[in-house]
Amino acid sequence: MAQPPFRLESRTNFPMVWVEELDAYMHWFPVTKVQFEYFLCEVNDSQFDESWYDEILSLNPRVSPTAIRGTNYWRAFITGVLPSEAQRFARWCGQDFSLPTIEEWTIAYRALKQQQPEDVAAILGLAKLNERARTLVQRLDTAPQAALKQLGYPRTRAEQMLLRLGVLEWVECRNQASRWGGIGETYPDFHSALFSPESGQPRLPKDPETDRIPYYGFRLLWRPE
Amino acid sequence: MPRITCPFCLQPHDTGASATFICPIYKETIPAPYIREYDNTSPLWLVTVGFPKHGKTTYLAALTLTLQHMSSVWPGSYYRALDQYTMDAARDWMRAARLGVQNESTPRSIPRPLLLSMYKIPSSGSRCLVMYDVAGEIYDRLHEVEEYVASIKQVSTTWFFVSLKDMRDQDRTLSDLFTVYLSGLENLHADLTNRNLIVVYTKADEIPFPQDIRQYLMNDRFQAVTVPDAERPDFSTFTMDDYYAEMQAMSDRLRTYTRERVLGGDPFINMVEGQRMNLVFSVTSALGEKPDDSNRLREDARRYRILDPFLWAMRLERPSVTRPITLILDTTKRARVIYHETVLGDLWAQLSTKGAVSAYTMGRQRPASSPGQTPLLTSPATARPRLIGPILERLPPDTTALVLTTGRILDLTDYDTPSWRKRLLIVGFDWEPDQEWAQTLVLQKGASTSVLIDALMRLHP
Repeated sequence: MAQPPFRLESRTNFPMVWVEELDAYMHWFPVTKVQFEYFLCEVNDSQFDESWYDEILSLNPRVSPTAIRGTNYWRAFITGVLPSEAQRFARWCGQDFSLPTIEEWTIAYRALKQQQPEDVAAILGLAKLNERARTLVQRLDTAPQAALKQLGYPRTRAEQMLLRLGVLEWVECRNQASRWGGIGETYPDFHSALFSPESGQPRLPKDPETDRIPYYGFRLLWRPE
Repeated sequence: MPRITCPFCLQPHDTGASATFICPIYKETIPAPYIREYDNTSPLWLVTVGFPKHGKTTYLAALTLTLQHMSSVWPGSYYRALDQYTMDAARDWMRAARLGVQNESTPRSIPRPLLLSMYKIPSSGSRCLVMYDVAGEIYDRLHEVEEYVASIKQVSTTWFFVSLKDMRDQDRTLSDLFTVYLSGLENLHADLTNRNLIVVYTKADEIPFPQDIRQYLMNDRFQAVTVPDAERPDFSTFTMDDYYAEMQAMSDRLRTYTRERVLGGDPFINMVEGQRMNLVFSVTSALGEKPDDSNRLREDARRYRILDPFLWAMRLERPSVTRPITLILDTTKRARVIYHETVLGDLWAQLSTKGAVSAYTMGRQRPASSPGQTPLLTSPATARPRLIGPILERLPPDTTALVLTTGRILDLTDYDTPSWRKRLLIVGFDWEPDQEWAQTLVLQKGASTSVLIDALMRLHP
């Protein structure tokens, strides 16, 4: 059965896009701090307390949706979380949500590279997208465009979704020495590294389960029944 | 047991498991029904203001008598004096009414409240009247208002008793009385915004009011309620809403009359409106005629429009009681001092007199307490991030919110929208908010929380 191209993930009402090649929805952007804050305000785990979030924010400070610019847009994303914490968020979103594997992420990236950017109005028109999320989506659609231009990248749907120039995204690497790796590309002002998602090879942090890396974030896949 | 606002000291008390409770400040026993029924028969706080001999006490006597007899026209309703003091006062008034003599003036002392509960009033439910009958002499001197009438600051509805004839004979004006009242409140650092001022023109039989006003008085459908064996009018042909509509029309009429015909009336109305108070007018006659020189009535008293000031008080208080108010609290380590009787306890009790209060803790989407439920005075075990977004987004659009914080709120600027700017008050507790926000205040440790209530009431969702 054909799926609608866009849906809101039901916990935080943030947009997801249907990726035919994966037979799954994928978050339109890496998970934002605003999304993660809904999680923080709902779960009982004492682990996610004030000091936990203070530490997270010290790694990559928060920016309000209305203050997002080309020079700070990466601050909108939740970073510094460990893979286990990202998984906890995924479980909270629902049993059909998961972190992508490196293979899934790469398939999506390559497919989306072949597509034209979407008119953001299609997302902004989704019912239940609240005012704050709407501002966030709109700003994250426009703010990174200068960065793309500066680096000479063409803007496909993959760039629009910040699979490139967003954050390094946690992916599961089943056939690697380490279970967790990172894929994507960051803007040099956020974190400078000569790394590109084109290869399909993940970066493999030494201590992914304990080391909070300021430029590592994530997005989820959702396979509705 | 509920947490209550004490009718004697007007401070909040936790009454514990006991049926009665002794006010630790005034050493007076708070009656058991007042405590037991606090949530369902909420207090209707009233204070009287008026110069000596302007008919305050006589009116209160007539009102008590009328309320005692209302069950004959309001099926199922009943009246109850909650303590011995009120019972004794009511008995004295009834004796005076039966013998046709006027009541003694109120002694000049710190007023003790009269506690009368009226149950099952049509369209209004049950309310406990907490009335402070203040001696008129106190309003002769500016400084005494502050000394004797601390209750005036806490009580949001005031009956402003004016006998136009006596005022003229005493060379006083309406604005004189209001100036005394205003000065007293200013000395108590109270804000008058949104307070209710009900002008009660007493002794209406002594004033040559225009015909339409006199007709209104005489057409009182409840007039015969206190007259023994009188024929009861047919109450099936009108509703209380009809009655309220008549009261509103008469209030408008009396406002015009006051501007045009009452000495000092025009500046009085301008002053009251300048303070952004709610002003309404009513007219009554508690005896129906002037007593003779020995202060006796020659006929049985006929009481006109006695219920109007009471009904006005209920009507004006009603919207504020149902106004949704959200209190959002900091849970970080520094904020532990908030969870104390004198801070959160006071704040919650005061807010509860203004609306239906729900409490939340920052960083927690689920409410900490629902309306009518006292929030715990112990700080939560887990310090949560100072986040308010997931709470604000769930609130109804007519809610005003007060956030009590000891530090920066992480997502406050996300809500810098016209809608939230006018209904969200940020209060730094012992901390100066460093975030740009239209409505911010600082509450120093040990300071009264009443200033916060006044500020919150000024917000308009």
